[in-house]
Amino acid sequence: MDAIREDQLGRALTWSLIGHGAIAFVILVKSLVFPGNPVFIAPALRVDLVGLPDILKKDLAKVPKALPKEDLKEKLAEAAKEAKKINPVPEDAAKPDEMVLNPKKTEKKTAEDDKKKEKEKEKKIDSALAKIRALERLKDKSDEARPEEDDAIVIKGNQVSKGTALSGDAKEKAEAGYYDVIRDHVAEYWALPEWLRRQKLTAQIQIRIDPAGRILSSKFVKTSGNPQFDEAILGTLKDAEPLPRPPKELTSSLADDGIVFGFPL
Amino acid sequence: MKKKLSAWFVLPVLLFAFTALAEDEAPKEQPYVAVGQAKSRKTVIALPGFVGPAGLKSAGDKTLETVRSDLLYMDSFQILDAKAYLDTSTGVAPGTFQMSNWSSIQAEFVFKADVKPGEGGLVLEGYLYNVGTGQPVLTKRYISSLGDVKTLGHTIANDIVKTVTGLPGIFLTKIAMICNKSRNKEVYAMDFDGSNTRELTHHRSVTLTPAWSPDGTRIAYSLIAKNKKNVKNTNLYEFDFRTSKIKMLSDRTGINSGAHYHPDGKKIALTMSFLGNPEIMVFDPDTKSVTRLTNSPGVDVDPNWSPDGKHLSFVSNRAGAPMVYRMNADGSDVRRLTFAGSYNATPSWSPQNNKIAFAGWIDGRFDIFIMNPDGTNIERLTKNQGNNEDPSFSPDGNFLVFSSNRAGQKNIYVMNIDGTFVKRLTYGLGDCVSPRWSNPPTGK
Repeated sequence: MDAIREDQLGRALTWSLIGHGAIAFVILVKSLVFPGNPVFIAPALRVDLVGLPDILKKDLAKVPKALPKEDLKEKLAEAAKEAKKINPVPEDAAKPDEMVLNPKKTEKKTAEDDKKKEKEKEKKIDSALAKIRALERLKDKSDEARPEEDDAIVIKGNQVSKGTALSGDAKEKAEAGYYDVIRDHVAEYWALPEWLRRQKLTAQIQIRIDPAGRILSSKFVKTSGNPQFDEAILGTLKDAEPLPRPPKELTSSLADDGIVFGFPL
Repeated sequence: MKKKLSAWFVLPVLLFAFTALAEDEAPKEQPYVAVGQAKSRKTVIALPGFVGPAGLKSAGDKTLETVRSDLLYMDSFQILDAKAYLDTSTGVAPGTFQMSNWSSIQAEFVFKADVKPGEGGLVLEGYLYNVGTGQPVLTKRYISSLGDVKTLGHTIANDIVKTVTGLPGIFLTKIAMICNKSRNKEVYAMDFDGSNTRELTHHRSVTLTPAWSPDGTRIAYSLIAKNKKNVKNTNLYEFDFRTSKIKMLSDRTGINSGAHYHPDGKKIALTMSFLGNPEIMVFDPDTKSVTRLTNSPGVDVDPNWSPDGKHLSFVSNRAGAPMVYRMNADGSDVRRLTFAGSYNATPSWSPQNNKIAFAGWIDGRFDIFIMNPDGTNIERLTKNQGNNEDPSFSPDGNFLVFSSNRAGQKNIYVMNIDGTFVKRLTYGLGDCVSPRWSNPPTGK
């Protein structure tokens, strides 16, 4: 009995393995020979802020970013100083009604009330300080977890938040973060007069960057065919020096292989 | 038996290893950064004086001054100071002067011209050079009378702008509006810079919402008048510049207002209420036929064609508050564009097809906003400057004309489409509203 069952099991196993192997082989060959389009995974949560904008378009560049951490610490220190300076004389005089009804009692009461008020004030300031410290700690923690978070103030007006896109590799994230930073930096200096802008020219240039952010070499991978456009690109890169310093993980690859910039795409 | 089993286990393991290896061997790509669209910066141009006989000097200077102020109006040109010019030659044609004199002072373009006496006035031969390539990009001869040099200057400026930016120049365009200088609201027209104002109608009543035909020969407008039953009605009229005559187009019962010509000039979209409820209709002035576009229990007004004539933007309160919507030219695919604010009105579709401007109620007043034609990216253009209403694009899509009461009375103002450089156009015409910008004149 056992021998037959073993034999059946063996045969079933072999056919199963052959079938699985065949499927895996077919999929492997297909993905190598006919690569498909990457699947777009949208962020999980999308929040639309709906309100007419309150800041003028021409003033958008001047909007200040959120207070840096140093300012918050200063404010904490100031608040602590004020807490120590509490004036023993109460700010509010006793209510006139109480004075008229109970002249003798109110004197004692006002003295006790003063002390109570002092204590209440101290408590309030202490609790406010405690809240600020707690928020600070939270902010520190959250800043450590997401070093690239943008602190800019959100302005009303049909804004779509980026959602929480999950990414896996920390190294990949550091790289992607740097490429975003360097793109934004170079884009600041990338300007063309209208007559060049509307000609829809494109060019690609490979540059090598040293750890200090200086350009070691530049070479056109694809010229635009228009010397004025190419000149404008070289001028932009020159104005953009020194480029943002690359993170440690990228210094060697940026100095040896470099980056290819596409103007505009 | 067991040996056979273990052998078959090896195969999938090998397969696994193979696929894992294959992934590792994928070639490493060089990082690629797309910098994105360039920001716009000013074009540097030099305008040396025209070469010519002493008798034509003042005409030449006036013409050049007009070209100068027109190019500065565009806010996309930087004109080099004449004191910096090194080229002292009188040659204007290619090869008659040193281009290095212009490239060394960093000019990107230079316009050189000479004037000669000619039939009825003067003949101007002009060359616009691209200093970088050294080649002329515009070569043209102009004929003008001596009394008309401003028009000559505007024409030259239009040609320079068209050559450099590819968009039509606006310096010979006009603006129509409704003013109540005479205590009655009449239709007026003026040049793009506020000069040459002219009263076109004398109905001694209330006129509304003027609209230019695309070829600039006619203005459609609405007039509140008493009909045969002695009841007030808002009728649609048309003023023809060629004959200076006024023709009535529609006196159907109720509202016939908010006219906007289709880009082909043969149909007019407007609000009509003869069916009871204000709806947007397309009216054919030749056959007087009416095609219904909107069908909603709400009020549908302010139709505005897209530059290709395939879509319309309009205002509807079908969802409660008046909001900006869009639909196809046949009324299908109605889409709501604005969800923000509480009252959005008078949309205007940019001739560059990239923006829609509208007036939105916020903080107790109207302000001008601009957004993409799909409703995204609303940007604010006016703030804390009174009520700003009725935006209308210039034909090149670079400017907005609108009505504002920031100075007390309602006046017509012009600004860039980023909200900068606001210029007042009307003075002493009473309250002026409903500005509409004409296309450049054809065939000039």
